[in-house]
Amino acid sequence: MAVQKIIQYPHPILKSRSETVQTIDERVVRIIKNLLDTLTASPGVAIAAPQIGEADRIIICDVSGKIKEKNHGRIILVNPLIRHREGKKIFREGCLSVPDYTGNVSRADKVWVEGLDQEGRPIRLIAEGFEALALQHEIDHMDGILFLDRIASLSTDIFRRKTY
Amino acid sequence: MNRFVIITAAGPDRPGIVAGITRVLYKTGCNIEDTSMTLLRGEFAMMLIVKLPQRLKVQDLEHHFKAVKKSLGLALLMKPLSVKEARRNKKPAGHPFILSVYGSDHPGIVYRVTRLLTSRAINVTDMNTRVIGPVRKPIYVMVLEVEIPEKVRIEGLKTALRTLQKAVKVDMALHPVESAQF
Ligand SMILES: [Zn+2]
Repeated sequence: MAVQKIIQYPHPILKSRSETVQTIDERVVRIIKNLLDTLTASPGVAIAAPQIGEADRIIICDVSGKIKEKNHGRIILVNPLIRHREGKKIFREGCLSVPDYTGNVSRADKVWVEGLDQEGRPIRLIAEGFEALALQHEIDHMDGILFLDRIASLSTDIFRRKTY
Repeated sequence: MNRFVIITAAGPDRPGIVAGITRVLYKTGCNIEDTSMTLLRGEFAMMLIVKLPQRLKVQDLEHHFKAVKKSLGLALLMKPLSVKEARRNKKPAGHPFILSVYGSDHPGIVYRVTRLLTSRAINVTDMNTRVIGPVRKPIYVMVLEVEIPEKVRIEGLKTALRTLQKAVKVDMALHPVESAQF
């Protein structure tokens, strides 16, 4: 086990753009292993490399323990990219790197994601609902975007009057 | 030793209320911690938990607010908090749920719903109510965020709410707050 300490804001790595992975070498394999161990030991369902201090475009997501709906189980994505988005969903999100706070975030309900697996083979998948939200949250981490940058509404503003 | 105070303030809405209040806090060396502020019709209402600097007494802070209180027409209340009362990260007492209640407006809706919640040790953590619709046929809408303790059976609670729904003649919906840590 190599559980890493989860880095918390205001560490600058969380607001930086991570580097594209050029080759899946020993270092990248080690980062993936550490991400897996760290995610397993955390209360979260997904994690991104900058959260353990590595500015590389690598994410892991596994919502299978949290939801019953159809999902892809454990997804390891190197150089992840969102090709297409559909729908809109507002969901209350938190982040392992921003303790004690959740906010209503607006995201796509369905995403077409691609990237490489841990052997460097291309992957394409279509994720919906909760899994799509998790992937978007992690892919945002690749570019230094936190859920705090995407707050759609205050939790108490359901009654905000429409203005025409 | 840190000392805290919770300030509640209300006054007619206009630009500059937040700046007016926070200016006093800044000038007196107070530290703003958690706040909630909102507009109820034309009235701006706010609550702020503030950390006081070493030598400042609550009475002194009240004195510093005199001018801005007058110019903004504010009603102001300050309640000292102990460190324990002001501490952060209180463990939630249960799972968060949203309860929506709505129907033709009549007296007693809020009381009868919250009385049922209290009887089951369910805590209201956030609440908004509005009267909407035409003046002659107003509709009451209430949304509560509640913490339902582990030991409360949701099905039993839903049955009790359905009974109340008929008695009070309102519509209701209870569902868990969807949230996740990514
Ligand atoms: Zn995150």
